[in-house]
Amino acid sequence: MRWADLLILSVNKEILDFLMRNRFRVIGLVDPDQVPSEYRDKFVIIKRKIYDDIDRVYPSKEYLVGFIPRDKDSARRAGKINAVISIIFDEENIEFCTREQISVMIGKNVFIEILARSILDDKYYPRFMRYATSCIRRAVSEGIDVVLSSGARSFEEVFSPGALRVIERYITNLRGSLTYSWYRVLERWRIDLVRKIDSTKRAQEAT
Amino acid sequence: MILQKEPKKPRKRYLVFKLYSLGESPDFMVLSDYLSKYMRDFLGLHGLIDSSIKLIRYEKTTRYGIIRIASRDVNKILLGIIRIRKINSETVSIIPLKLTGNLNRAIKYLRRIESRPKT
Repeated sequence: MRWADLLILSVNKEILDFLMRNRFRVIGLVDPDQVPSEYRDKFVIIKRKIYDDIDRVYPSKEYLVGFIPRDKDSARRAGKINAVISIIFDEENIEFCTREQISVMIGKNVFIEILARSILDDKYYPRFMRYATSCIRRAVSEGIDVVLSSGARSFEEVFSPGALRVIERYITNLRGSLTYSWYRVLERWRIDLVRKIDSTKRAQEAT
Repeated sequence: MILQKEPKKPRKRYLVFKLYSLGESPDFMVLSDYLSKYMRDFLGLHGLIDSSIKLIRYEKTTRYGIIRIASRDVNKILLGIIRIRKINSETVSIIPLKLTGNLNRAIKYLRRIESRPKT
């Protein structure tokens, strides 16, 4: 099993060590230059661009684009885009992920990205879990890809594969529904990258 | 007279975990006390009773351990455990490795991973 964290906002040596020891091989970074050279060959790094203005969002093959909606209307507009971009929900905007939001996203290539760091905040935890549980269950049942990323800004906000699986078990109880969906997303986004990931895995297994 | 069915006794589950810590590893008593205090806050006093959470084993040097939990609401209890990020101002992360219903199997798994060469 390959593990991925498609959105880490800030990395340092401690985070990279943690990810390496916990079998993460694919990481999504806003600023890939933060990664020291000795770690570069340990990971497949996906470049991310995150916007909060819907007018600036455009699909790209170089960057995996993410959009953080600040209001309901822009969340709906983003949901109608038929390209591989993510709509990112965290503790501040999870209430926009409603039944209507899911219904506009059906049949489109856009996917939902939930930031797991939101469950660490005691203040937002109950509200976030209530909205996130209904949103994710509805999206998964409609066949929309939901990716669970950490969205980490510090070491405290990074999650291990076991922790991500616990969150998945709690919310959907479907193995791979949140922790393996990144692979389906990348297949739709850039098949060449997926082949590269597969070939590096085979090479690692051979050695 | 209507005989009421006796409720089923909840089964036990054993969680093998690794404590990933940036600083010094806490010892058994510190971790055990913190775990019950934290879970009381997370689940409430009644939830803590129902969860029957207990730190069975923890090795300070290897940082591997076993936590016993009740099978009822197991996902909720595990969610509480993975939210732990600080023990006595040390940044930590509890990594769940294996969940099993048999203590011997948990110990066997623990011995196997403890004997693995460190990379």
